[in-house]
Amino acid sequence: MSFGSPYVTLPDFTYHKPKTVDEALQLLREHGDEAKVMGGGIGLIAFMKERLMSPSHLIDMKGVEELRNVSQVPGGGLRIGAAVTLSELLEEGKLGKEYAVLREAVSKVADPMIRRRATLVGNLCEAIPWVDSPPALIALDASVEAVGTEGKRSIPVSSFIRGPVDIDLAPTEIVTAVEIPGSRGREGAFEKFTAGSEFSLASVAVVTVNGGRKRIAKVVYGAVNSTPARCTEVEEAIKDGITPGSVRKAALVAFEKVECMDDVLASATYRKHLVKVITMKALGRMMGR
Amino acid sequence: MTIPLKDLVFGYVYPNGNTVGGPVIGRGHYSSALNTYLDPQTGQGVPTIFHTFGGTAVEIELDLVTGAIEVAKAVQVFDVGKAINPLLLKMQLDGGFVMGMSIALFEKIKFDEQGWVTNPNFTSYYIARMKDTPKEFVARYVETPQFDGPLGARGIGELSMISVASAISNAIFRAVGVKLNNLPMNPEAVWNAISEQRPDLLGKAMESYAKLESPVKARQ
Repeated sequence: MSFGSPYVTLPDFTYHKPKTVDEALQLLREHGDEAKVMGGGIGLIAFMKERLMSPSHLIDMKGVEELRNVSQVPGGGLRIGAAVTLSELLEEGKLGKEYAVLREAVSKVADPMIRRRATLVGNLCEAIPWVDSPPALIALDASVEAVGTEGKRSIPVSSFIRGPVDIDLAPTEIVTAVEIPGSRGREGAFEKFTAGSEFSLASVAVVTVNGGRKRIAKVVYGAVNSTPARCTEVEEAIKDGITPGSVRKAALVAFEKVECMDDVLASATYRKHLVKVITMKALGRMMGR
Repeated sequence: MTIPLKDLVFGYVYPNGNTVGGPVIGRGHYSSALNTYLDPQTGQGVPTIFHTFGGTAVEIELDLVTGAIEVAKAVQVFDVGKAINPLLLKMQLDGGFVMGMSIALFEKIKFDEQGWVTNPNFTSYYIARMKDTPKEFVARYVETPQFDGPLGARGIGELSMISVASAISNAIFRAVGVKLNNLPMNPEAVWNAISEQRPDLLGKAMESYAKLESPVKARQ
């Protein structure tokens, strides 16, 4: 995948800052294809500077108070509003132990300056292959809540991201939240490798759930291919527990099974090697759990 | 020869004494005492006004498993003739180091088969950021006056970045015996070189990694 075009100054656009979701939907209906919804703008502004997109209306969701909350869902689970920034998510007590994988992924996104501006939902909707939160959200079985003219619908993150910069969202819809189901015995780890402070070249999100006899493991790789993807073979390798033996086996399986791409940042061969390394790192930290 | 200031600011004065305050127009010429033309036969001669000598030393940490390099310490010493502003000089040496390090480790313009640049913006043409800079900088200078320089000074500007890549490359060689002669020495390039030149070392590092010990780092 190539990296678009040189950055130039922003195209002309009208800036809207609605106060409610209804108001935002109204604006979206009025301007149709000419409008784009913006969270932190980290991805969108760059896309506009590259002229990959030239919306003439920007609808900034940061002013919508109802989307600024992280709330517990009755019966277990977490609902993260679309205007919640990554640094807000990292505040004490927001993401508990059962969301450790997301906490680690978010804490490793870019740098503090960007985390203050970027939103989790924006990170997800950007849907470029190298971003960090989608693998963690897929491992957590999270889903996206979208509101449109026809009402509300819920889409699993794994099918929400259809391809690079391609999401399952109608032009008249707005993502209002990410919902993560709760799970008591859930633990997780996230590892990534970057060259300097660049985009991830490979990332992995691991989640295990110890519920009595039944043990579930989910392993999702990001940045190695055009979309984040689970590797069920690696999950199989650790389903009976994370021990030095199973970690080594999982790393070898990952090396063989995870499909990697060549792009401007790294070759597929190097990514395959990194997959092995980060698998060992992430699982190594979770040993004995 | 001296010219009264009055004659200079009036600009051109006609022989009859008339002048209408024209612009001050002047011409100057400086020729260095040592410069010569190059001999067309041998190419020998003295083409540059000064040569600033100096050296760069680095301490790096190399992750054998991924090929990632961290520069822990940077030392630069240059003979600047005369340090007219020592603080500015230090900043020049440190800044030059970071620029040289960025070129050594990250920067590369990439092309596709048609000749289009595939990384035409700073998202993909990566340059060093604060996070990548060494934890420790040492900048020192020596003063051997340049006989025809101002106060004995000579230039330092871009010179402070020239030897950084070589210093890093030599540090890699001393740490793991791997020679890198191409830039940038990004993690993939270093990992490739280790895989080709010292597969034994990489194998060992991967083994101890598989034992789930702490990351293997070579320090030099």
